[in-house]
Amino acid sequence: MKTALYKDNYREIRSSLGRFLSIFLIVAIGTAIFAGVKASAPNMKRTADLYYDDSKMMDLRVLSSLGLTDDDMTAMRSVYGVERVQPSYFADVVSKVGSVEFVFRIHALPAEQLAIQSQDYLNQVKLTSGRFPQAPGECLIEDSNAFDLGLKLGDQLEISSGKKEDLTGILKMSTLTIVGKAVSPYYLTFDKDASDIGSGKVDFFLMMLSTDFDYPVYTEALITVVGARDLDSYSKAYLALVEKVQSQLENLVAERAEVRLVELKAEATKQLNQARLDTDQQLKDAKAEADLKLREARAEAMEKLNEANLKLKASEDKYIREIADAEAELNKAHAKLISAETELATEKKNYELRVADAQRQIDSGEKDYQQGLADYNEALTSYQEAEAAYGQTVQDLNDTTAELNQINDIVNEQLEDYTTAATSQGITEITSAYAEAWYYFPFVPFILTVVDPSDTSATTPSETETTPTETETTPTETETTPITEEPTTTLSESTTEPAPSTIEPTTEVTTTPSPSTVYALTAEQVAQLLEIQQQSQSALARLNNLNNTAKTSIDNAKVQLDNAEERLQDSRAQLDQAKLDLAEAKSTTYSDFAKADREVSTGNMQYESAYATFISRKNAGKAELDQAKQQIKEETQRANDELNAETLKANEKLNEETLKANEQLVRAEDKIERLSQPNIYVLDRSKLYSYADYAMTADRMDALSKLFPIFLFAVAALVSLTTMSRMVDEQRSKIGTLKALGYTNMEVGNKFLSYAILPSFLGGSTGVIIGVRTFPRFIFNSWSMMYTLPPMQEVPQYLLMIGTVAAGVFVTAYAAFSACSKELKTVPAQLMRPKAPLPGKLILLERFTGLWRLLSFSQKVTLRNIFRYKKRFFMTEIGIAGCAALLVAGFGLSDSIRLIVDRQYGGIFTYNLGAHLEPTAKPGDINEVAELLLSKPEVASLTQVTSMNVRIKKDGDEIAVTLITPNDSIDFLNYVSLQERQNHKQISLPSSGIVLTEKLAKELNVQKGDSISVDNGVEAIKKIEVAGLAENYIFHYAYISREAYAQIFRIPPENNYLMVKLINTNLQLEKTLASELIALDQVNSASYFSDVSKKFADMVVSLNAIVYALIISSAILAFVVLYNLTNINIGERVREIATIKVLGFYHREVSQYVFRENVFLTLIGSAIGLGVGVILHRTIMTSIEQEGIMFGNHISAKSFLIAYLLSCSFSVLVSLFMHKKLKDIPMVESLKAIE
Amino acid sequence: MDDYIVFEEVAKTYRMGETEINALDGVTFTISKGQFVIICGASGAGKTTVLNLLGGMDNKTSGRIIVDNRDIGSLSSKDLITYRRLEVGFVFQFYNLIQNLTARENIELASQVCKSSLDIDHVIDQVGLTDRKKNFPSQLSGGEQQRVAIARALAKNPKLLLCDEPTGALDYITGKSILKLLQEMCWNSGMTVVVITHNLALTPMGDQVIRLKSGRIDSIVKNKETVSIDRIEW
Repeated sequence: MKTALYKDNYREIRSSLGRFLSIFLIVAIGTAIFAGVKASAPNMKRTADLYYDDSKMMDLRVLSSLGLTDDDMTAMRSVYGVERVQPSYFADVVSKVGSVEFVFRIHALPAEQLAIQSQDYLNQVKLTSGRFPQAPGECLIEDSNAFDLGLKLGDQLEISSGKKEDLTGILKMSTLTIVGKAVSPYYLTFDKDASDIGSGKVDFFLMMLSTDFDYPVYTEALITVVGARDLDSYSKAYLALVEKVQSQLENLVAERAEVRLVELKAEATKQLNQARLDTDQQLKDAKAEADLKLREARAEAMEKLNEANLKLKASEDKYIREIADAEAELNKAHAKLISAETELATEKKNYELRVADAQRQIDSGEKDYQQGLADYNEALTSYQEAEAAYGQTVQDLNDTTAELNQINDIVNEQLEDYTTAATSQGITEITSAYAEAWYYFPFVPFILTVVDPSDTSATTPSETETTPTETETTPTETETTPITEEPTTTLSESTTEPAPSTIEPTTEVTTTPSPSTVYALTAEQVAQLLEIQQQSQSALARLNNLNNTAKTSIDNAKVQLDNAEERLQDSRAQLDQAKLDLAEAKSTTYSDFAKADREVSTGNMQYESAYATFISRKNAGKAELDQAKQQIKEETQRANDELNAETLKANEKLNEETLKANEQLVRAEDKIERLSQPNIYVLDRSKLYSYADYAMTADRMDALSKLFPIFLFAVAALVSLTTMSRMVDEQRSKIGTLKALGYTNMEVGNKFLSYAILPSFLGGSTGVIIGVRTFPRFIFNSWSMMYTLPPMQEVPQYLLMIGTVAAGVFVTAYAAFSACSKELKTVPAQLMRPKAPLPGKLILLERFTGLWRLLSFSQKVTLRNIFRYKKRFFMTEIGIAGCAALLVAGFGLSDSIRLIVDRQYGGIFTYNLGAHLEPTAKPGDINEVAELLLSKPEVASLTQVTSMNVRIKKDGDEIAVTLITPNDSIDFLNYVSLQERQNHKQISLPSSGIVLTEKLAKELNVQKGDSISVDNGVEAIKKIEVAGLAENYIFHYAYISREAYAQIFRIPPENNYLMVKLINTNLQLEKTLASELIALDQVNSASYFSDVSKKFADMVVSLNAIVYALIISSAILAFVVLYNLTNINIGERVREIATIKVLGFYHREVSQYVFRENVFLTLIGSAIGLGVGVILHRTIMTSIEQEGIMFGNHISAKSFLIAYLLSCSFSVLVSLFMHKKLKDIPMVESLKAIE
Repeated sequence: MDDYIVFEEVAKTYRMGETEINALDGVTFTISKGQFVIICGASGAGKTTVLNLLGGMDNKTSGRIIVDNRDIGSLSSKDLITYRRLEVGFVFQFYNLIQNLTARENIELASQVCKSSLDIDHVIDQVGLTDRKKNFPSQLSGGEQQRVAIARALAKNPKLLLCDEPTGALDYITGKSILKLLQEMCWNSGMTVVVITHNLALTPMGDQVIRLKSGRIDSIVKNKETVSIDRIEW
C-alpha cells in the first residue's frame, strides 16, 4: 500500500480546500440544474398520465358533423383494439355571471351509470364538493383554481345558445342548478378549446346528465383502446398503439358517414330543391301578384285619366261652342248697333235740315213779325203820342181854357193894376217868365199840327208809321219860327215881369210871348193881352174844334191800331205757335234723338258689357279649362307617382324576397356543401387542447433543460480545467520528485485525477439529488397555476441521475487529465527545475507603434498580460459573456412580454373599449348602441365591425381565429393599426383576400399569396388568398374587407362589434362605461383594454420565474468563473505580485495592477455577452413560445444597459472579494519560494 | 552621520503550527549613512530576516529598528509600504523581474511609483544595458537580468539599497561585475548599501561586516580600509 501517496493526496485536499470546493460547487450547480430541469418534463407527463389512467380518460374521440347514431356505436365497438365505446354529447352555451358573459361547454355524464352509483364510465370527473346530478337540470361546474366565478352550490345558471336560435334541439332546459363542483381530466388547462360562440373560447365546463340533452344524434363517441392504459400517454408507444385503432376508426366512420351522407344529402338536396322550387314559386307568385296589382293599378289610373280627359274635352268643346255663339251674337248685336247708329245719324242730319228750314221760316216770320211789331209799336207810339197829345191837348185845352179864363181874369186884373204896379218889376222875372213861356211854346205848333193831320195817320199801322214821321217834321218847322222871334222878345219879357210863372204854361202853349210881352209891353201889351184874350177865345173855340177832330182821328187811329194790334197779335200768335211747334217738334225730335241716342248708347253699353261678359266668360272658361287641364295633369302625375311608388315598393319587396330567398338558398347550398365535406374527426388525446398544451409546456421545459445545463456544464469543465492546470503547475516539482522516486505515471496522474474526480463525483451526486428533488417540484408548482392536476408524481430517473454524475465526473477528470498529461510525459529532471516562466513577448498591438504609444504604461502591461494568458482570457470572456448573455436574455424576456401587452393594447389596438352585441340583436340595434355611446362626452369616436369566430385551415391544421370585417375599411385603421412588424408598412384591407396576423400565419405555415380555408361555422368553407401579414401579439385575428367577405361568402356580414375610442381614458372610466353597456339589452359583452392588458400581464407573470432563474444563474456563473479565474491568476502571478509589493505598490495599486485585466476582460466580455444574449434570447423565445401569442424579439436599451452594468458589477464584487487575498500575499515567502 | 540604521535587540519568531522558530534572537547593530555593509553567515542564520525587517517587508517580534531616525518596526502597514516605495531598493538573488515587461519597462514600473526617481535611460546606461533595454527578461542572461533588477532598484533613487545574495545565481565574472556596480553606486552616490552573501571572500569590500549565526550576531567587523572588488579574488 502506498499509503504515503494517499496521505499526500488527502493532505493536498485539506490544504487546498477552496480549490476542491470550487470544483465541487461548479459541478453540483451544473448537475443540479441539468438533472432538475431535465427531470421536470417526465415528472409532469407522468403525473398527467396517472391522472388520465385514474379517471379512465378516453384515448380517442370520434366526432362527426353528421352526428353519430347507435348503429355507429355498435360498428365502432366491433373494431379491433377498441376496448370501450361511450356515446356522449357536448354543447357550447353562454351564460352571464355577474355582468360578464362566459362560454360553458356542457359535457354529458352517462345517466345510466350515475343512476346505479357506478363510477364505471370514461372521462370521469372528480367531485371536489357537492354531489353528482340526479334530476334533470342539475349540473356540475368546473372547480377552477385559476378563476373563481363566485358561484355556489344551489346557484342557478341561465344559459342560452349564444346564437340566433334557442336551445331547442340541444338541451331540454335553459336553467341549470349547480349541485356540485368537479375537476375533469379532460381539462388540465384553464385555457380550453375554441368555441364559435361568445368570446370565442370555452371558459368553463359543466357536466350534465346525458338525458338532459336534446340532440337527435350523439355528438361524440369516447373510445378507449385495449392496452393503452398501461402505456405512458406521452410516449411514442402509446401514440402508435392508438394510431392503429384511430386509422381503423377513421375508415369506419368515413364509410358510415358516406352512407349517412347519401341519405342526408338526398334529404338536404330534396329540401334544397324543394326550397328552391318553393322560393322560385314564391318569387314567381310574388312577382305575378305584384305585376297584377301593378297592372290593375295602372289600368285604374288610366281609366280615371281617360274619364277626366273626356270630361275635359267635352267641357272644352262646350266652351268653344259657347264662346263662338256668344261671339256671333255679339257680332250681330254689334252690326245692329252700328246700323242703328247710322240711321240715327241720317235722321239727325235730316232733322237738322228740317229744323234749319223751320227755323228759317220762323226767323222770317219773326222778322215779319218784328217788322209788324215795330210798325205797330211805331203806330202805337204815334198813337200814344197822339193820344197823349190829345190828352195833353185836352188838358191843355182845359188848362188853356182855365188859363185863358185865368188870363182873362189876370188880364182883367192886370189891366186894372197895370196902371199902378207894372213899373219896378225886374227884367229877370220877365225873362223867366218868358223862358217859361218859351218852353211851352214849341208844343203849341205841335199841338196845332197834330190836330190837323190826325185824321189821316190813324187809319193803318203803316199809315201811323208815316204819320209820326210827318209829325216830327212839324216841330222842326215850328221851332224855326220861335228862334227868329224869341231873342229879342225874351230880353224884353224878363225885364218886365217876374210873375209870369203861373201864366207861363198858358203862354207856353199859346201865349208864351204874352208874358214877355206883358212886361215888355205896356199899353201895347195890354192891347196884346186883349188880343190874346181874344185869340185865346178863338183858340179855345178852335181848340174845341180841334179837339173834336183829333178826338175822332184818334179814335180812328185807335181802331186802326187795335186792328193792327190784333193782326200783330195774330201773327205773333201764329209765330209763337210756329215757334212753339218748332220747339215742340224740336224737343220731340230731340227727345226722340236722345232716346235713339240713349238707345244706341245703351246698345253700345250693352254690347260693351256683353263683350266684357263675353271676354270674362271666355277667360273664365279658359281658366276653368286650364284648371281642369292642370287638374288632369296633376292627377296623371299623381297617378303616375303612385304607380311608380307602388312599382318601386313592389320591386323592393320582390328584391327583398329574392334576397331572402337567395340567402336561404345559399345557406341551404352551404349546408349541403358542408355535408359533402363532412367533418369527421377521430381525435386522439394529442388533439385535446389541454393534453397538447400540457405536453408542449413539458417539452418547453425539456428544451430549456438542454439549453442552460449544457452551458453550465461547459463552464464547469472549463473551471475544472483551469483549476487542475494550476494545480499541476504548482505541483510540478512534486511530480518530478515522485517520478524520480519511481512512481509510475499512472500513480502520479492518479493523484490529480482523483483530486478532480472526488469533488466532481461528490458535487455531481449532491447536485443531482438536490436538483431532481427540487427543480421538478418547483417547476410543476409554478405551472400548476395554469393546470388542474393532482400533486406531482415522481418518476425515478436513475439513468438520468447516473448519467449526469458520470458526465460531470468525466468532464472534470478529462480536464484534470489533459492538464497533467503533458507534465507526466516530461522527464523528472526537467520537472525538478522550476518551470520557465511564460516568456513575455510583444503582442500584435505593439506593432502599431502609434496606437501603442497612446496607451499608458499600465494599460500596456494589462494588454500584454491579457494576451499572455490566452486560456485564461478565453475562460474569463466565456464566463463574463455568458453572464451578460443570460442577463440580456432574462431581461429581454421580461421586455418581450411587456412589449406584447404594450404593443397589442397600445400600438395595435388603439381603441379603448369593445362592445359585442347579442347574437340575437336586430340589424338596427348596433346603431342605437352607437348613438347612445356617441352621446356620451367621454366617447371620442367609434366604428362598427363584424367580429366572428372562425376556423382557419391549412393542410390539416385548424386554428380558431377571430375574423374581423370592418364596416368601413379606411376608418377601421384608426382603431386597429394594421402594419407589418419589420418595416412598419401600413396594410390596407384589399377588396379581395384576407389579412392574417403574423403568428397565425406562422402557425399555419403560410406566406403572403398562399391560400387558406376559412370556415365561419355557418356557410361553406371558402378558400381565400392571404393578402398580408399584420403585426399582432396576442391571440389570432384575421381581417377581411366587407366587399371581399360578401363576395366570398355571398352573404354580407352583420355588424356586431363596436370599437370605441375614449377621451382621456382610465381604468375606472372604462369600467363604468363597460358596465353601462352590458346593462343594455342589445349588448352581450364589453371589454376594456386597461383591464385586458392587466389580465394578460398577470397571465404571463408566470414566465417571470424563468427571468429570475436566468438572473440567478447568471450571477452564479459570474461569481464562480470570475472567482476561480482570478484565484488562478493570482496564484500564478504571486511572485510578480510580491515583487511589486516589495517595490512599494500600495494595496490599491496592487489590486489595480491585477484587476485592471479583469476590468478590461469584463468590459469586453460583457459587450460580447450582449450580442450572445440577443441570440440566446431569440432561442429562448422560440422555445417557450405559446400558441396564440407571439413574443416579439424585443430587448430594450435599458435591459442591455442593466445587463451590462450588472455583469460588470459582478466582476467588481469578485474583485473586492479578491482584494483581501491580494493584500494577504506574503512578500517574503512568495519571493523566497522556489520549490 | 552615525547610526543611520539602528537594530536594537531585534527578535523575530516564526510560528509554524505548534513549533516556534526564532529566526532572530536579539540582534543589535548600527549602520552609518553611506556605508557598504555586508551581512554574512550560514544558511538559516537570519541574514534574510534581517534584510526583510530592514526593508519593511516583515514585522519584527520585538526590539527596535530605527532607519533615519524613524522606528520602522512600529510603522503602520501603509507607512511601511511608503517607506519601501520611497526609501528602499531591493535586489534579489533570483532577480524577480516581471516577465511580461521589457527591461526598460521593469525599471519604469519602479520609477513610476516614487517621487524623486532618476532618469531611466541614465540608470540603464549606468548598469550597462543600453542595448538590451527593449528585451524581455527571458531574452536576457542572468547577469543582465540582475543588472535590470539593480537598475530597477536604483531608479527609485533609494537611500537604502538592500541586496539579497545578488550574485548567488551568477557566475564568477558576472557576479563580480554586479558587485562592482553596487560598490560604485555606494561610493559615487553615497547610498547606503546592505549586501547579504555567504561568500566570505567578499568581506573586505564592505565598510562593515556583520556576521550572523543562528539568529544572533557572531561578530561585527568594521574595515578601516575597504578594498575595491577588482582586487578581490575568490
